[in-house]
Amino acid sequence: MYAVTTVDPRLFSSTPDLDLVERHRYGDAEAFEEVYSRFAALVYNLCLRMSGSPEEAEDLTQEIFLRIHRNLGRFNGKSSLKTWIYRITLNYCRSKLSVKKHRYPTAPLAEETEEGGVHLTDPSRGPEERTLAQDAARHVSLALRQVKPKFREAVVLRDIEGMSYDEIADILGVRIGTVRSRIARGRDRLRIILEKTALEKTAP
Amino acid sequence: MSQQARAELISAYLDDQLQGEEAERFERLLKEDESVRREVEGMRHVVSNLRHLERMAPPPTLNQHVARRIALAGEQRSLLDRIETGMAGIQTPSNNFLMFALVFTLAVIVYLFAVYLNQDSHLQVIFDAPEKGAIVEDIEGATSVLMGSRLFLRQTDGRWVEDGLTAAEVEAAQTVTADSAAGRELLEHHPDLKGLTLLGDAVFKLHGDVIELKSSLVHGPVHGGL
Repeated sequence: MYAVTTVDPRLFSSTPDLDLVERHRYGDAEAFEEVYSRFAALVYNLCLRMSGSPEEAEDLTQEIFLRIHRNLGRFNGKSSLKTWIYRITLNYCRSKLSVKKHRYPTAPLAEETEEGGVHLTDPSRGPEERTLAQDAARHVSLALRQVKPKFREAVVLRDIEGMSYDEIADILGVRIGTVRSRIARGRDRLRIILEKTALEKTAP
Repeated sequence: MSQQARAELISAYLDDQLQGEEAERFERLLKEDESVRREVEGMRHVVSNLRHLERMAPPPTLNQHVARRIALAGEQRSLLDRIETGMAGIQTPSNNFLMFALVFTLAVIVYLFAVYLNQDSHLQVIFDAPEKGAIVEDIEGATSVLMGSRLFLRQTDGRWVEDGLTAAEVEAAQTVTADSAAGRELLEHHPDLKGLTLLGDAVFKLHGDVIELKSSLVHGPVHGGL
């Protein structure tokens, strides 16, 4: 099915990313499997945080990997493969979410995950600590869905993915000042929502 | 200071993004303003919660779904490639053939359209003008027409009667319908009438016989000459 070559493409690649890309270009199916195993969790979690639904995150992830597979051969190494995949993921999520005028579901994420993804549990946490953490996580996840997508993606990249402002600016294709502003507005919106939720919980 | 500007400062402060004067100004604000301190704590809490969100492992079946989608897309791509290759195979040696086929098809369409129009014109009994006939621009207003060497006069009843025929001859005319076999035979093959235009019912003498050639159809608007 694939083109046969007698030259090992790895001889020409200068970085691990480009090595994978070259192997993919030469029809090495394992190269894409490697890309998948390296980035599946990243893409899925990003989709999950952007869409707020495990089912939708799964659909989005499938579509995104289809696009990655189709376009991997065109990756030129100007950015890291991870940045490139982040860009594809966010662009695709953004287009889908804007088309759908995404609704803000209210079903708790913890329940939804029983059908969808699986928690990567921190084994160092005790059962009580885990319950509290899950409760807090549920509230934050719900609140996150109520933040505008452009602020949400900045917050997700910064606080969940742990990226620097420079990296976020590179991925989103905006200036650092814009990144700073979007992160702030996203966080502030979350703060207001969570404070309101806390007040409602304590109200008689 | 607007809420947005305040939020930006707090957020940047939490990320150690404030420098120089901006940082000093914010430190002062933090000491002086209780509400700012509360907002800082609120936002710190948000950031902490976000950072502690557990990562989810993708559903175990996701890789199979992705593989299936890719295989399916590959098959579709392969099919498209085969079609494109096949088309390319046809195209190279037979570009002229394709062009010919296109022109031929267009010609057939034009011909069929013309046939259709011709049928339509038969319905309106409009034929090409005779070579020697006079062309009347406004045929509906015309009262006389020279068709070949014959002069036809329009009667009040709308019929075109050849000049010189008596009322009795007209009355006794043998009726032939234009779209009947005999009518068509007359119009298409008779040396005196071949190619002549029939505008409507016409009475004329032909080899001693007086014939009324009836269009038998409703007279539509006349588009052409005689």
